[in-house]
Amino acid sequence: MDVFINSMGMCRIGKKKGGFEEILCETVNEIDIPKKIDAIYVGSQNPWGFSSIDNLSARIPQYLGKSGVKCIRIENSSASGSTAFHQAFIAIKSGLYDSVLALGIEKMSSRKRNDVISLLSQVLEENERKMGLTPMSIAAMVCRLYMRKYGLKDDELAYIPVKSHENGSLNPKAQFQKRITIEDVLNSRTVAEPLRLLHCSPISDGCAMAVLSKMGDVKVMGIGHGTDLLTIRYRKKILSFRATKIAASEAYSMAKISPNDIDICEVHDAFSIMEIISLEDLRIFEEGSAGKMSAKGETSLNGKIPVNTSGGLKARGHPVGATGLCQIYEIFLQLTGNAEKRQVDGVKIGLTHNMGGFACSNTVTVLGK
Amino acid sequence: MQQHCHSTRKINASKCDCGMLCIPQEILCPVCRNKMKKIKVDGCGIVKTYTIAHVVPMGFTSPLKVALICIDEGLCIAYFDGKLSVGERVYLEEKDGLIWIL
Repeated sequence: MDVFINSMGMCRIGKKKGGFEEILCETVNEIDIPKKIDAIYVGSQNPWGFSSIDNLSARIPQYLGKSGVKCIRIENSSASGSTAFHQAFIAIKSGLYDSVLALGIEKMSSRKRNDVISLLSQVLEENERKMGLTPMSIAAMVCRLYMRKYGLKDDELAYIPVKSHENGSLNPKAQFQKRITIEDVLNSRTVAEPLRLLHCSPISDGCAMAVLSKMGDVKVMGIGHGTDLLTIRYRKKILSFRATKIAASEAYSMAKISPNDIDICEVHDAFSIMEIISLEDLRIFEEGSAGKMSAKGETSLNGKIPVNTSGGLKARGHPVGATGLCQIYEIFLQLTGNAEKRQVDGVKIGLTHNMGGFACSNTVTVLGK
Repeated sequence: MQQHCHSTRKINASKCDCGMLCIPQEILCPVCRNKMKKIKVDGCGIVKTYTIAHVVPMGFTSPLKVALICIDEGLCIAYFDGKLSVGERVYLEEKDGLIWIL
């Protein structure tokens, strides 16, 4: 029995005035939630830390006017959104439920920037956190090693956020809709060498939701979920993420496809280097080549394999627990011909890739027309 | 990357029969959960990568200079002052459970 996406909605991502209730109301305008829905699965990374909110299992249904529906919160760090979607898929595939609402929501902007950085660093292992590491500084170390090993230049890496903003400028729901240049990226302040401010995704608020059921326009062809050790210094490799490789293999196998069959994808570009490494771990590009291929335009809107047509985490925004569903929303729009100014013609199979923690628990989702 | 180098300064580590090396020490192996042996490794290694972080969590001062070092058969995180380069051989010391590049 197949599982489909019936309907989706997403609010404008950014620093929003309202809280959870207002953000949900904005999102719900676009989606058709059926009268009879068997469950609501909510993905949110840290509602208590970022928003001083607890008990989402009761709050979300009431805010949606669906207090009669059973609801649980699913936490998988920054992959909470896609993981909630996966759980909805599994529930319907099992035959126990007919339709499930999967939603991802996060409000990060109420806290000061320094607090947000500390909260995001809580995903790391204790000793790494005790030494003052952040996901950003770990990504910077990975970036330095990658650039050195594969000869990737600064202006080649800068192409990634330039592309993100180009696509974001065509996305009315993106947090950032202004284009930037390679020069802008290289002149932006250094946050952790060699990463600059414009290589990093922003602090965002947002929500995206999907109704999954036994019929719909977009089929969930395959899902995958891979993991790795929490502690970075214990890993065998740091230029490649086992969690992505396993998730990709599972999803490709379930969907009965190979990486060549993917027409379009959304990958987890929390930092520019992550987009490059992820495309290699997904086997869309060969090891060491994704940075240079991207700089040549192969992943742009009219390239061979458009990547992050939404603007990605960088320009569309990164409301951490919601991101996974924001990615799925973009592929849903592309497959149903609703991506307007950034529509890619002829797309039949799309992929999303979402990371939890520092590539500790990653998901891959394959969707088809 | 296993480089044999020597130092009179020792770093506390723990080793598992499965091959895992942990710095700082762990009681149980993070991979197979068997009891680890407490050992000391020579305080020297090769710089795998590093960063100078200007964005730091609360309680830390910027810039924060950290490196990932290949030591014995594992990796450790160490602070450094001044400049560093990938592939450089460095000497390490342990102060209050934190590793520093000399």
